Formats: sequence, structure tokens, C-alpha cells
Amino acid sequence: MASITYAEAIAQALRHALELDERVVVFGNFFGGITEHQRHFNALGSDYPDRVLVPPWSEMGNCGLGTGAASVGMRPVVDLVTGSFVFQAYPQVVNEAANIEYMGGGQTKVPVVFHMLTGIREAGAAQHSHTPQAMLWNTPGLMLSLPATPADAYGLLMHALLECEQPTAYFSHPVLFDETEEIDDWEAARVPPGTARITRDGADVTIVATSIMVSRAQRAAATLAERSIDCEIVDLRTLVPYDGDTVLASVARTGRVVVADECHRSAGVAAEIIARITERAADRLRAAPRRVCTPDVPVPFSPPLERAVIPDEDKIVQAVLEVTR
Amino acid sequence: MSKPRREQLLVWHREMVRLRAFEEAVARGHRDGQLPGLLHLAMGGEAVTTGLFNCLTETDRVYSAHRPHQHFVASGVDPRLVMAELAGRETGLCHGRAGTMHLMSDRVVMGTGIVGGTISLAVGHAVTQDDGDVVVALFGDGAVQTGTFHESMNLAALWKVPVLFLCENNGWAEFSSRDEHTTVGGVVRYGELYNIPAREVDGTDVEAVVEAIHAMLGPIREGQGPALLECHIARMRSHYEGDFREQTSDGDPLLTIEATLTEGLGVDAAQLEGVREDELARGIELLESVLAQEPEPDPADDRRFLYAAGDA
Repeated sequence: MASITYAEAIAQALRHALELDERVVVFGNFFGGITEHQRHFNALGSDYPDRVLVPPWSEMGNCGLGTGAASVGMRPVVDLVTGSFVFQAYPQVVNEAANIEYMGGGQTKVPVVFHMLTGIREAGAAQHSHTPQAMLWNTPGLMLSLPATPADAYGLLMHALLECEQPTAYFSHPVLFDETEEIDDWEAARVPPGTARITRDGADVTIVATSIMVSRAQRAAATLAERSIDCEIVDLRTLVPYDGDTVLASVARTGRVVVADECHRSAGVAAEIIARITERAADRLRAAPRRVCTPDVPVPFSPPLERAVIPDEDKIVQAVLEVTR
Repeated sequence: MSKPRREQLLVWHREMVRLRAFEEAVARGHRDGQLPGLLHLAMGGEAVTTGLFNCLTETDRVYSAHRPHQHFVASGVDPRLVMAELAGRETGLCHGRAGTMHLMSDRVVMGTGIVGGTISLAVGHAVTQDDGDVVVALFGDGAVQTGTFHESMNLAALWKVPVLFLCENNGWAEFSSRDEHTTVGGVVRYGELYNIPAREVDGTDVEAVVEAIHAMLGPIREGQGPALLECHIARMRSHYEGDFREQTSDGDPLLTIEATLTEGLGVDAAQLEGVREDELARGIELLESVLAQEPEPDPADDRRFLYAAGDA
């Protein structure tokens, strides 16, 4: 069995996609950020010098570059590096890439992937810690992938690079880079988007989670099991498409729900998911839903303050205790 | 220049050494795991920073970028406040909320974690300045490849905004060398394009820097519009502390000024070495004192400085 890290899985997806489809091209190559995992991506750059290109630090231009190339048949991935840098590129991501297929009445597809390292990462402070998935979910026309595991990091990126016909915002998380998983069969890791995964069966409460919050939910569930509370965990994997059926079926079984996502709270991902659940299944809920997310505070630099705002497993435990009281 | 050259250079030398020593202490604190975050040090830029503040009035303002520590210390901010901020302490310059890149104060208004993030803010500040005051926009050569640089240059030229665009060109944009990110040889060339007076200068030579900035500030203060100065400096450290890439460039401004002092002006090398030892000891003492004495913020205080709680 091969033990693969989350970061390595991203590099492997890029490598396999470059091998399989000559339309794949990589614009920007700092997927590993400032971690030692960057060596996998450096190797990729050495192996594909003509197809792994590093443009200047011009995010808006680079996202336009990927969008334009995609519109004429390429399958580019643009590495924005830090998620907060997507704000430098908003016009091309939100107002061009996301709109082109619809505005053109379907004439032109733009299968471009925008990669970003999102989330609270230890002293990244207010300008390097964003989780822009809620802001981008508010943009019709984008696929949103938030892999929580190495296999999904691989599978969702492979789908975006080789099969998807829409622009995809792909959110990796630097705190997940060291997570490992045994992966033998890469082909089996290629899951279609829009299929949530139940990572833990449970009878008492459903925890719907994305990205980094899935592993935090697993740890919370282990703690709660000691107190005889049995949690079911739904890893959404993608927000667009959204697998409402799996969420609703789980909530119908447990009657209680906590939603965990690292976005800021107001108008966040958790808020939207709770709205969807209550619109369709309010009669199945035996307690008011709870959300676990980052409070509406710019992420502070100071370590004790940062720790205070991170939506960690203790906060999930607290929320579960509130809905099961 | 009122002081004799030798005396003036000795003053500037001590100031440059003080800035260097502050960051030597920061580097040590980071290496020891006591200063968090992604630290971008400005070692190599001491002559530009020292020369700049020599030329500014108390009411001029400066916008910094992602290597801001030395700019703040040189502006007269108590180094203890800066060090406490870098340690994330409640008593830091920004109460621990900002950290390394996002420092804020009075004369140096702010740094930024975003390449090109403050250039247009400097222009906005400058349109409100009283006659005769100048705002300096400091940025690196990487920021020249962002749209805001060009948007800001264009508007400042059009409206004759009193801004000095000061590019500290250290030859690197994060992990890309200049040749890898542009075909435009010199940043100074954009001056002609936007009809802005432009010069380039050896940024390791504090006297050359002072001469150039003095010459450029005059017309700006008189209302003739912005100017662009490109200072060629070294990036003596990699992009961030701990970076395995070791992408640096040569040109230590301390060696330049020390050569001038010893070779041409008869200063004893041992005297200069004494200044270095003295300032480094002060820097380390400051680091240790801050780490030992300044309090951490109270985690319950995480909403402080928010105008309104959006999630009430």
C-alpha cells in the first residue's frame, strides 16, 4: 500500500492529467506554498517545462489567461497560491469565467481550474487566511471543490482537469497537507462531483462538514462517542454541485444537525446549508440546527487570538451537545 | 546637509546598523520559534530607508509593503512596539492583530500582505494632503506587474498628485527573478510613459539616495505632480525567513558606507565594528525583553476593534 499525503495527491493529479491530456496546462506552480511539499511541484515543473509555466505575480491577468485559453480548447489550471489572492483576480474569475458559458447561450465553455490554498494556517493574519468559498458560492457558474482527504484531493482535481466543462474553484488547505491515506488504485479515487460521502455512520446527530472541518468533525465524534453520542458525518466534497439528497437523508435519520465550515459565519457556507435543510426538512428536525464556523472577525495574527477564532473540534463538540441536549 | 560629511555619514551608519540589528534580532526570534508568521526581512534596504527618512518632514507620510519592519523603526516608532507586534503581544503596535506585514502607525501609515496593495492607497492619501506635504509609496519591483501600479501612476500623473513612487528593486519578485517576470529592463522606464519625472539610483549608497530624493521631492512639494524613483538594492535574505530556496542578491549597503568611512574619511574600522556589536546587543536585548515581559492578548477579546459584530 502506498501512503500518500494530501499535497502529494494534488501533485499526482497534475502529473496524471498532464500525461493523459495534452490540453492540460499549468499556469503558476506554488501549489505547495511555503511547505516542504513544494518539492513535488518543483519536480513537476522540471518534468514539464513547456506545460508548467510560472507567470508574474499578476493574479487578475493570470486568471484571465487561464479563462481565455480554456475558451479555445485548453484545460488550464491557474494556481492563485493563497486563497486571499483570488480577490486580486475577482473580475476575471467572477465576472468573466463564471459568466461566459451562460451569456453566450452555451456557445463557449471555459473548463479552467482556479487553485487556492485557503483557510487559517498559523499567523497568516487577516490578509492570508481567507476561506472564499461562500463568496464564490454566491457566483453562479462556478464549480466548487473542497477536498478533505488525499484521495478526494486527487479525484476532484482529476475531474476538474479532465472532465469538467465549467470553471472550477478548487480549495486546498495547507493544514491538511500532511494528512496521509493509503491509495493503491488511483482510478478508484476519481469520484464524480456532487456525491457527498458519509465518513462516519451515526444515529444521534448529523455533522455536515467541508474541507478541514471533516477531520475536526471526526475528532469531535470520537470525543462524543465516549459520552454515548453517536455522530454521523457527511463530507460534502463539493458545494457546486451540492448533494442535498445525502444531507437530507442523514438528517431524516438523526433529526439533528450541526454544519461545520471554516468560512466566516455571516452569509457563510454553513448558513446556506442550514437554510436548505430547513426549507426542505424542517419537520424532521428535533432541535434547532447549529453552525460551527469562524466568527465575523478578520483573522488575527496573534497566536492566542487566532486559536480563539479557529472553529476547532471543541467547538463542534459544544454545538453537538447543544443540539442533543 | 548641515553636518560635515564624516559626521553625517557616521550618524547614517549608526542608523543603518540599528535597522539591520533590529531585523537580526527578529530573524533570531523566528529561528527560535518565538516570532510567528511568515517573515519577510528588508536586510539590504537600509540605505534607502535611512536616506528616505532623512529627507521627509514630520507631516509627510509613507506607505510600506510586505517588508515593512525597518520602515516603521526608521520612522521613529518605538522599536519595542514593533517587536511586541511581531511577537503578537497585546502591547504591540497593533495590539497583536496585525503581525509582521500589516503594521500600522502614524508617519508610516501601513504595510500590506498583498503585492501592490498599498500603492493606490498612497495616492488616495496624497490627494487630501496639505500643500507642500508628500506621500511616499514604497513598493518592490514585483508590484510593478500588478494593475494597481499602472492605474495609480496614471491617475497621479493626470491629477498631479503629490506622491513619490519609490520602488525598492531588489531583483526578486517573491520567487521569480526580474528576468523571469518582465521584459521591461528598468522600472524607471515607466516614468517616461506616464510623463512623470523618473530616476534610478544605487540604493546601497545612502548619499546617492539622499541626493536623489531631495531633488525629486522639491517639485512634488511645489505641486508639479508625482515622481518615480527606482532604487537598486540587494535582497540579502530569501523571500521569507526559513525559505529553502536561498534566492538572494548581492550589495550590502553597510559594507558600502563602511568602505567610504574607512577608506576615504579615516574612520577606524574597529569603531564601526563597535557600533555593530552595540546595536546587535540592543536588538537581542529588546527581543528577549519583549518575549519575557509583554503580555499575550486575552482570547476573549477577539472582537475588540470591530465596529459592529456582524454575527450578533
